[in-house]
Amino acid sequence: MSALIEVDQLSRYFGKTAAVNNISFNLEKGEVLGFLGINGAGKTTTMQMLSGCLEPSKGTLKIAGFDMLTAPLLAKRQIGYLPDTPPLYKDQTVTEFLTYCAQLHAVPKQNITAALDNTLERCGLTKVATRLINNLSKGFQQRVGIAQAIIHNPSIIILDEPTVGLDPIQIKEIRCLIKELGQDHGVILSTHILSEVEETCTQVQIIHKGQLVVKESLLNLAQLYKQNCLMIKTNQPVNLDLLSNIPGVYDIVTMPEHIYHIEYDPNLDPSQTVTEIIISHGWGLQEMTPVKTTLEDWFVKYTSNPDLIQ
Amino acid sequence: MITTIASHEFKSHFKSPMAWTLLAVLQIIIAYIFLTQVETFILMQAKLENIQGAPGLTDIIITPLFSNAGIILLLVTPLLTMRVICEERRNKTLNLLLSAPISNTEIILGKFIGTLGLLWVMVLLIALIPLALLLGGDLDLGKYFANVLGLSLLVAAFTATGVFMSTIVNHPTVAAMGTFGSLLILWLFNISKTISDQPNQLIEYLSLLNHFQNIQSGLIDTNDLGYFVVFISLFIVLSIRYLSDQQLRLKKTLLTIIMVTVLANMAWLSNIYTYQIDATYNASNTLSVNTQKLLDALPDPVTITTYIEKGQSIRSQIAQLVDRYQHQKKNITLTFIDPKDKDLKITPDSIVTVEYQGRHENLAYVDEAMLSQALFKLGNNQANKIDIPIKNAQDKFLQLTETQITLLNYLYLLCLPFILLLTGIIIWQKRKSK
Repeated sequence: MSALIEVDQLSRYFGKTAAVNNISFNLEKGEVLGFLGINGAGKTTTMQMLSGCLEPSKGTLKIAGFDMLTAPLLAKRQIGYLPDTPPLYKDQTVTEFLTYCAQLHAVPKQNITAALDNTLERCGLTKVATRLINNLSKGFQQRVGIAQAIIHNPSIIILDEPTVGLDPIQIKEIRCLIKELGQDHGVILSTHILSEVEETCTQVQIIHKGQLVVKESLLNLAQLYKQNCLMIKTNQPVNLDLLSNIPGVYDIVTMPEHIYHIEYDPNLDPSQTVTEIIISHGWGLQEMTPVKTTLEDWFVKYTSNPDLIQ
Repeated sequence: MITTIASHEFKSHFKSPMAWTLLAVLQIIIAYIFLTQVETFILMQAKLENIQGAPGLTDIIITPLFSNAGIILLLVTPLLTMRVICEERRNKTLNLLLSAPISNTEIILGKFIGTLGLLWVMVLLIALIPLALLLGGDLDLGKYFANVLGLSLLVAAFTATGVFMSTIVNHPTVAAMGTFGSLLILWLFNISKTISDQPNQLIEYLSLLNHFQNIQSGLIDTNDLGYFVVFISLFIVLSIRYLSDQQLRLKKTLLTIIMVTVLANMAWLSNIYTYQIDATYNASNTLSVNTQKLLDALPDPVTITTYIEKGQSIRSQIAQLVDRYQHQKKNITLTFIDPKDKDLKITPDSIVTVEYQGRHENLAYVDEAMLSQALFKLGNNQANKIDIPIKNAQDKFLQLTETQITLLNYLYLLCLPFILLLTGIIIWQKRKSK
C-alpha cells in the first residue's frame, strides 16, 4: 500500500522567488502532520499545491497513488481542504452550503442527508444548521469551514490554521476532532500555535524560506529539544571563548543585559566549572538558573539560524 | 456536475434581491417601449393600409422592441456576470471549486449556464410582453420566434464575454467595465456599414449587431448562427484556460491554440457553405421565383452604384436587398458613393444606377420590383414588363379597445413589476434574518 501523500522535489515559483523550493515528504494513514513555519515560509503555498488549487512548477505530487497533474480528479476525490480563509458562501444557510459541498465532492444523492447530519453533529453545528452563515460568529464559521472539508469523508484532510479565531473551549473541541480524524485519515495541519502541535500531532515538519528544515516524529523531537540549558546573569561581560572551551558546552547564546544561555550535554554538567571561572575572573555572577527548553525555543532556533539545517 | 454548479448559480441569483429588482425594472422599461410603439401603430394604421408593401405589425412593434431589449441587456449583462469568477477569487471561495474533483471546464460551463439561465428568464419576460398583441391582431410568428432566437443568442454571447472578463481580471468593477467596453465596440462595428463607402468585410463580420439584425429579419442563416456559436465557444475556451493560475505548460497552451484555430475555421466554413431558412410567413426575405429565373438568365457581371449620403439608414436597406440578389448571382457588385465627396449633382430619379453589359438604368429607389424590372430591361434589351408580386404584410391590423389598452398599462407597468419587486423583498427579508 502506497503512502497517502507522496511529495517529491516539489517547487513553486512566483516570478523568480521560490515560495516552495524542492521539498519532499510522505504522509501515512493514521498520521497527523503538523506543519510549522514563520509567516511567508511557504506553508500555505504547499497546502494549496497539495489540495490541487495551485499547480506546482516542478516535482511530482501523488495523492493515494494518483498523480495530481495527470489524474487531478481522482486525486482531488481523496482530499478535504480547509484553506486559510474558509471558502464560505455567506449568503447561504449552513445546510444549503454543506449540501452543495457534498454535491461538488460527488457524494451519492442518497447519502447526502446522512453525511450532512453526521458532519453537523461532529462539528457541533446541529443547532445552527438553518442559520445564514453570514450571521454566525467567526468561530462557528470556522467550524463550517472544517465541516466542508470532512463532509465527503476524504482519506486526507488538509487544514490550514484550523483553530484561528476560536475560543479556548472551541479550540479544545477542534483539537479533539482532529485527533479523532487522525485515527482513520491522514491529516495535515498548519499552525502558528506550537502547543497545538504538541497536543495533536504525531509528526512535525518545519518549513523555512520554502525549504523543509526538519521532519521528525513528535516522540523523537521531544528527546531532541529537551537538551539542558543554563541561564546566567553577570555584572560584567564575560569572555565567551573561555566559557565555550569548557567540556560539555555546545553553544552559548548571548542575550542583552549580560544574560547568557549555555547549552550543554546532560552527561557532563558544566555548571560547577562555569561558576568557578566567572567568580575567578570577577565578572560578578548574579543569577544562575537551569532553563527547560520548549518546542518554541527549538522552533525559534531552527528558523532563525539556517546553518543548523545541516 | 455542470448542472450542480449551474443550478446553484441560478438559484443564488434569485436568493438575493438583485435579480428580482432587475426583472422588475426590465419589465417596466420594455413594457413602456412596447406600449408607446402600440400607440404609434394604432395612429399609423389607417395610412399603412393603403401603402403597397408596407411593413406590418411585427415589423413596426416587435423588431424594434427586441432591438431595444438587446441594447438594454447589453447594459445589464456586465452587472450580472462581473462577479461570477472574480468575486469568488476575491472571497477565496474559488478554492472550494478548485479543490473539489471538478474540471475547469465543468466550473466555467456551470457558471456560464447558471448565469445564462437568469438572462434567458429575462428574454422570456421580454418575449411574453408582445404576445398581448394577439388579443387584437395577427403576428408574423415566424419572425417573432426569429427575434426571440436572435435575442437569446445575443445574450449568450454577452454572457460568454462577461464570464471571460470576470475570469481574467481581479476586480468586479473592472470586469463590468471590460465587458461593457468590448461589447460596445463589437456592437458599434456596425457603424462602418453606413459611414464608409467601402465597408471592411472583416469588421462587418465581427459586428454583433449585424448578425443579430440578420436573424431579426426572419432569415435564419447558418452564417449568423455559426458566428454566435463560434463567438460563445471562443470566450468559453479562453475562460477555461485562464481560470486557475497555471504555470505555462506547453501541452495546455497548444491545446488552447488548436481549439481557437478549429473555431476560426468553423466560422470561416459557416461563411462559405451557407444554408438559409426564411422564417417569415410570406417569405419576405426570399426573392420571388421570377427574379430568381431572371438572375439565372443573366451571365455577365452587374454593377450597382448608389449615390446616397453617408450615415443614411437607407444604405443598409439597399445593402440587405442586394445581398439577396448576390446570394442568387455571385457577380453582382454594389458600391456606395457619397455625392458630397465628389461634388456630384444627383437628381432624385438617378439615386441608383444599375449597369449591365455597358448599358445602364437609373432608379429613384430600389425594392425588389424596381431592381428586377431594371435588370430585366437591361438583359433583354427590350422594354417588356416582368411580373414581381408585391409582398404585402398580412399582420396589418390591430384592434384593441380602450379598456384593453388601459388594462395592459396597469398590468405591465404596475402589477407585474410590483409583484416581482415584492417577491424579491419578501425572499430577501426572510433570508436576512435567518
